[in-house]
Amino acid sequence: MLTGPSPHEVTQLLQAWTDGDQMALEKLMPLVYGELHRLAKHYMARERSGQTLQTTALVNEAYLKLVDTHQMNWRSRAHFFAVSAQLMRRILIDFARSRRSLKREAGQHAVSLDEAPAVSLEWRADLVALDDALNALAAIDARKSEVVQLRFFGGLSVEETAEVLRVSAETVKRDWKLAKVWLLRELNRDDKDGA
Amino acid sequence: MEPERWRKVEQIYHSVLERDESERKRYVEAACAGDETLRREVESLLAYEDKAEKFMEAPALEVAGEGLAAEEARSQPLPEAIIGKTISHYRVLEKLGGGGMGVVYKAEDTRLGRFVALKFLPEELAGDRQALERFKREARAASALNHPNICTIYDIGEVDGRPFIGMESLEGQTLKQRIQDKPLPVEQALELGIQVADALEAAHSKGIVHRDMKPANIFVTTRGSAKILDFGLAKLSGVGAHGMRPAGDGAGEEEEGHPHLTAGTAFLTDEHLTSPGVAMGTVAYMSPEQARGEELDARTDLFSFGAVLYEMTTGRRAFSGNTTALMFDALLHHEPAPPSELNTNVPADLDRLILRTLEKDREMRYQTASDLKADLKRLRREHESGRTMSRQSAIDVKSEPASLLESDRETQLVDSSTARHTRLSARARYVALSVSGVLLLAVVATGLKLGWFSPTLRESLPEFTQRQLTANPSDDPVIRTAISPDGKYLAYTDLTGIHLLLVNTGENRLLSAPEEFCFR
Repeated sequence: MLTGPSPHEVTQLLQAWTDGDQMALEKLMPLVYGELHRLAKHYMARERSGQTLQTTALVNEAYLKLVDTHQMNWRSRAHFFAVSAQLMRRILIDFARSRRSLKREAGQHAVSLDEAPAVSLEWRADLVALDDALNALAAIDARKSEVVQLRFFGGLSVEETAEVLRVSAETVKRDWKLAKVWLLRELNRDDKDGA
Repeated sequence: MEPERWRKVEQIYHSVLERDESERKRYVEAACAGDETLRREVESLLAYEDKAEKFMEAPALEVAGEGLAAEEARSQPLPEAIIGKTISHYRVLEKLGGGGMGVVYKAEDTRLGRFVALKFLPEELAGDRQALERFKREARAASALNHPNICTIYDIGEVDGRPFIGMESLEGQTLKQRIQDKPLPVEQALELGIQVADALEAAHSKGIVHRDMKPANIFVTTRGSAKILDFGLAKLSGVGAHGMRPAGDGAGEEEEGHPHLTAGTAFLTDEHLTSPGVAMGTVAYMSPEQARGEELDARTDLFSFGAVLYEMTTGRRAFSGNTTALMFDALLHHEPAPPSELNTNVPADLDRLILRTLEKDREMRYQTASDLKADLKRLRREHESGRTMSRQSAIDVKSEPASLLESDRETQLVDSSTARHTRLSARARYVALSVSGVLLLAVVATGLKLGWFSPTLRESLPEFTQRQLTANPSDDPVIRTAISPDGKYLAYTDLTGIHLLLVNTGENRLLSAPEEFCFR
């Protein structure tokens, strides 16, 4: 259960954050962490019981709790999605950095976001590396970097992403496709340089 | 990159994907029209097309949530409450033991209705993804080893983020427990040795090296067969849990590009050279090349196995020392005393065999497990026939076997020296045994009467062996030596001081010379 501010308050906090209120972020962070730990607990329970939970539903539920979309009209909804995706990226990356293993700082690694997350303990470093690569992509093609932020960090569907960016779903699909190969190449390039 | 150029890349990229696989290469070339940089750019992106499909498919929150779940699972020690629970299709019955390589539980496979052993990887290894990958790969390789003397791996799995291996459930004890500072009977040591050598031969033929052969990794079942445990896991364990890097195999790992993880084998840190008690169990059986961190091949197993044979026949470790550093010194620089000096039952040929497996230079060692096995088998045969023949030869020389049938005598009473190299048929051996039984009585009777028969008969002709007790390098030569009257100690001086060497064990104590003092 989500404790603390209500979804309505979350909306206000998000608004405050986009207006430059850093205190708002500090109030938002525990909410995301709370959801994260709740998710983690579900995953652990699922592993133990051996049953398959619909993880997509679970994650969607977590997003919905954090970002209440119902009380907004269309225009602010798109804006809201964009802001919450940015927030999610910021918080998750901070979280990933917070306990980034020292061992990893020393050596390079192969990116494995495509591998079964259950065995990946490198997710923190993977996310941090992806964040860096995404910044590099933004310098070349801002929209593609947006697409990734909305879809991967914001958890939005192709259609929602299209809505936010006011482009066609087809364009989002193409951007998403190219962004993925570009990022993968970037991540693997880092890997070689660092090794 | 210029925006215009990037748009070009993008346009070509998407057009390529609309085309058939077979046409793509040609299309890229045409579309780039001789612009090599552009072509390389497009092709390098296309190279990730397959991998990209699953990349970032799960949203970041899910990746973090699952990652966190795995971390939390791994940070918790395996609960004792696991007993009685069902994991996958295994019902956990009892804890069998725990050690450096993890905790082992006895469980029942509810599908096949048989007992299995479930071994959970220790926490510190479970957390290392690369170690885990290697573990899985190796478990797969080891599971391909179908051999009666290798503990069979049935399954690998994971529960609560803790990987485990399902394997053959064995009854008996490890060789380590079996030896307990006492030598095994020679025939038993030979029998077990042959089985282990046979297993090593099978594994080596598939390119799998154990790397951690030691008495604790050889199980002796209640029926008396040897089973090698933890095949392939050695690379993981090495002494990795204590800071030494797990050993790596040359080929497969280079492509991963982690030189710090894959350098030949274990490497040492200062800590290991000075701290007592660190992973001594494993260090004591390391081959010199392993201790030096060199590339390993199958011959490392033969050395370690030699150290096991040594311990089986003598009840003592071939290399010992109170600290890891001393142990390394022993296995790198000192020859162990011949086993027969510690156990007079060890025949000279077995002495030679064991010392040959313990050659520091792997080129001088047995080169293959099959050669070693063949020699062990020959020794076993000699040992068997030797016992028969030693009695017979005594008869041959000392008494007249009047009661023997003439025909049998022709075939059976061969000279003992040729008998050693002549394979007796089963029938012949049976006859020889029964005949010698009868004759032995006659011999004992005559022997006692004549007074020449004594229990020390076998030892009346001692083997002369030459052993080098000191290294005597040219930059630090041995200056003076003295052997104690009882032959147990050798004292010698070199530039560092006075050494007192225990001849049997090779243990070496140094009385350092004062700095201003010179022994010359």
